[in-house]
Amino acid sequence: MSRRWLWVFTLLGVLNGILFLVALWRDYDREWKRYQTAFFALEGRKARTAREEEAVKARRHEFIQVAVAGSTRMDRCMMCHLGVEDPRFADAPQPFRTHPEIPKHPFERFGCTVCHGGQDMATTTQDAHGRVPFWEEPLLPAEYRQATCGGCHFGADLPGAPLLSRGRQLYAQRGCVACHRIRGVGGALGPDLTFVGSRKRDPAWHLRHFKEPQATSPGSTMPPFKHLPEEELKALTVYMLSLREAPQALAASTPLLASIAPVAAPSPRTAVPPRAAAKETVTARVPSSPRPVSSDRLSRAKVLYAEKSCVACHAIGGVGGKVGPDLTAEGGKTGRDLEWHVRHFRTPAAVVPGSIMPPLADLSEDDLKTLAAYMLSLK
Amino acid sequence: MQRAGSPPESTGPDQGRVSRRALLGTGWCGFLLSIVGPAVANIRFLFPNVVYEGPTLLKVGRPEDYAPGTIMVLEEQRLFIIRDPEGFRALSAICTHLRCTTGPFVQPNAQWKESHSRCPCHGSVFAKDGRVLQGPAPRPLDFYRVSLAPDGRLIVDTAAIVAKGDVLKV
Amino acid sequence: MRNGWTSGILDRVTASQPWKSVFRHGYPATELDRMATMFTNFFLHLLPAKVHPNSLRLTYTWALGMVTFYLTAILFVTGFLLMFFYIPATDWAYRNMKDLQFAVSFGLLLRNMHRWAAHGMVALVFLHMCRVFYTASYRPPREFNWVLGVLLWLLTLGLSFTGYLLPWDQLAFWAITVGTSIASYPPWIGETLRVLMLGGQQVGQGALLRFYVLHVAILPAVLGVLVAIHFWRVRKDGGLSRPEGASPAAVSSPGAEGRFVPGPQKTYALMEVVQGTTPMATTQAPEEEVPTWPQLLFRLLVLFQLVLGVIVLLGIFFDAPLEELANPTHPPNPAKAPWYFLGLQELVSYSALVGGVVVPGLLVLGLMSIPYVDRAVKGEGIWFTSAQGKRIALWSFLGTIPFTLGLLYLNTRFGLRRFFPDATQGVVDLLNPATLLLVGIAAFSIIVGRCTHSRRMAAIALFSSYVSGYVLLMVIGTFFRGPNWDWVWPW
Repeated sequence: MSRRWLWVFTLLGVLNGILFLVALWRDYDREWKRYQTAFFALEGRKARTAREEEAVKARRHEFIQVAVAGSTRMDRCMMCHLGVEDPRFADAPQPFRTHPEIPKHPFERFGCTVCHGGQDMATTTQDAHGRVPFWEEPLLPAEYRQATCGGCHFGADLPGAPLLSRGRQLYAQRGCVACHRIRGVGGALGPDLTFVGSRKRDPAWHLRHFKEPQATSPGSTMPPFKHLPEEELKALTVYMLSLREAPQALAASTPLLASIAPVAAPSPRTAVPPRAAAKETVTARVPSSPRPVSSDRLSRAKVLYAEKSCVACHAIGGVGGKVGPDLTAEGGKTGRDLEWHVRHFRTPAAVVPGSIMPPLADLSEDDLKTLAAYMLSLK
Repeated sequence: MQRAGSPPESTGPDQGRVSRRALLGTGWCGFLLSIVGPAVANIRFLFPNVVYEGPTLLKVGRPEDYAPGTIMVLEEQRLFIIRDPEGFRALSAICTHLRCTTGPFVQPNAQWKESHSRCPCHGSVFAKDGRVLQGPAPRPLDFYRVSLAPDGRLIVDTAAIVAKGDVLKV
Repeated sequence: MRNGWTSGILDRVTASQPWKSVFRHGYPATELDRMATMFTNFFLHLLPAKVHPNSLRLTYTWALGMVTFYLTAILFVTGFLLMFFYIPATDWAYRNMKDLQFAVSFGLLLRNMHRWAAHGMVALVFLHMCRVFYTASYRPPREFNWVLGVLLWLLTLGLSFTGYLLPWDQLAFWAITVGTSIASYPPWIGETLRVLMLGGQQVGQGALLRFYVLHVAILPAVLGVLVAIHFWRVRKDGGLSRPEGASPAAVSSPGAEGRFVPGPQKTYALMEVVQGTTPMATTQAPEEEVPTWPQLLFRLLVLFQLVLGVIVLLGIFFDAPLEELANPTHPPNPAKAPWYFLGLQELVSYSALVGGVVVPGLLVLGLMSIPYVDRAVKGEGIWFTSAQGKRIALWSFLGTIPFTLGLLYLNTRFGLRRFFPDATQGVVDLLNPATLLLVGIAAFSIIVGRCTHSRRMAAIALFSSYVSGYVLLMVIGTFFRGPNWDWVWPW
């Protein structure tokens, strides 16, 4: 064969040899190995006894995974997060820091991703934290972490997750149930929220949606809730994020703390506990009415109006929802006196046929009259 | 051998040019590397880094869970945890004959003067230091390394076989 | 490198009986020995002992067939290895892909190599078909091999399609949903075909298992057999085609006169003595041929290095896609078939019948029938046959582009359904870009055939237009179709 061919043959051979070595290196040099090496060094410094020192010296790079019982998850977080169960690393930098023990949730049974999110089978930082395309469950930011508790624990009040419990409460109190359904309970105006946490996993989306529904969901008739304080919106977001498909058998094997339905149905018999006015902040902005109502009665009315989330469905002066009639000039409507309003508050459907307004059954007679007077003052 | 139609090679000495032998030699080396290398890599590929058979490092509770002077059997993990005045030992419950799970330890009786475990499959009998008292088992039961995790729990490493003298003092 | 010690051992080994029972002759150093080895070695006897220099010319074949074969080999090897870590169960398949990526040594590299070799093979087998067509290498006696080639092309598409589902991600799931839906368009048998493919009504565990069995067992077995016959036929048909004038001393075309005329200075072995049959051996003036060893073998070696190097390079630096886990409730918008079927999907968007049944059917039948329609004898072995052929090929290829784009544009602006929303499906099937494209190209090639008085030229026009249209529609389907299959600009 001519020299030209020999050169081609040789060059290709050398190139292919180099390519093989590149492939070899890329397979050998893994990110997690570097983390493990660093951890072993730290561990070595913390060794106190000869036996411990020996154990550290014997440490080799290894694959570590936790098969989460009852699911197909294979959590490999501990390949880098090596100090999670070692109290000596409480002050160590991440990823080596100790993880507080969660009673009844041993890591070797539950793994990590069930609570934290992320990509269980990945072994590189980016991929494992799930902040990559095509992975739908990235690491949950710390402030929303209680959401995942709700994936298995359906009870209304969860001692270890106060933000979640608050969110569940607020869902009932702020009138969300009027339009949204969770596990069959609630109105059908808005989308079913039973698994909303599986569809919309980004907390920022929920916050934006609460504040301005049309911005995230064009065409939505949901009224804005930017009048709610930030911490309430966060609690509600935590609750929304908790509404997701539970890791199957893991949930089945854990006794559920309470009944399936966490939300009170809008019937006269259920009681949404009335809250004392002093604890409520009045945030609904309503224009002052020309018809004088005594000032402390007016403020009481406004408190009730906000408490009962009337703004969710009714608008006054451009503020509020479009589900129910506009109340800006409610006081001028003929045929509606105090009695009419009180009856309407008690059983809306009986007074206005076809109405979907939930009854305000748990208010005292006095409170109903106060609200009715407020209605009449709106001109 | 020349390609039909190609010009004849220069007949003079190849001064300053790389010799055919060097070229071919390097070429073949590269070629072989790019064949043998991947072949070896493929074999490495076949050795799994993770298996779904369950972990080899087993957490078996706390020292307080084991009364002194007892032999507890952990069936799912196929282990005996032996706690005696010296400390903790972990004895494998996998019969060395054909890998059945050998039975729990029973008190001495007429036949055997020490506590023993009987394997239901082919009748091997083991003493609590792993010795084979009877039966087709070819060698004693293995002891695994027991250590104390930093959070205070006992860890048995079923990938680390140790001598029967190895004990965790607690 | 060989000192006395090692060469002593080597000599002892190679002189031993076990060795000599396997390697009966020493390393062939003379030309005679090399010829003999080509005969006696199992792997080498596939190749002829001597080969015509035209077959070695890069610009003749562009080595397309061999590259396709090497890709097949790479696919088999990587495929076998991947099988050790893959379970065709809907609960496991996706996780196995993730394991290959993260937990298996060289897992990602092998998976990538498999994917790129697969895409490469689909493209190259198509290019190889084009080369064979344009050199008119389907002329007798090679008609049957051409048909075999078309079948091999279909098998390649089948292998790629069945493999596409196995990662069980969104990309795979919806591509197969679309693909099997297109396959259900033929009347009467379409729906049955779809149920047979899926093992059910929807893409699910049944489909995954069936596609897996097809992909790793049935289709490769059939491919193996057909490839073997394909290579056998190449030998028996006289090696690769070549222009007539290239060997003026060619003695006879096989079977034409029914007589066996030996060429000068050629060694023949007496095979059999029978009554009346004509041997199929081809004859060439031996002085035209060059020894396979080393001329062809060396080139094959270098080609293998090139193909392997490219695939490894791609495998190292480009990751095969893996989207989210397959979710039957979340179709992407748009859901696209694999790239080689996107042209079909584009056509199907105009008319299910034409795009899904008529065009593919006519395509396959049309391709297979080429050797039986073009009965000319001259012009084999020359790219495009003549200068005229070259012109026709070029203009057909180029001309189809504005024709197709024009039809698409007209359809968008003046589509039938816009003006006659109640038009029956039959009318729509008649007047849509797919049908008009088909009819237009057919009419054009008939005209060319008439004007040039040559079926070959007609065939060139037809084939070139078809290739052009196919590629263009594929490009459109890939880059210019967005949600709801609306036109989008990719930049």
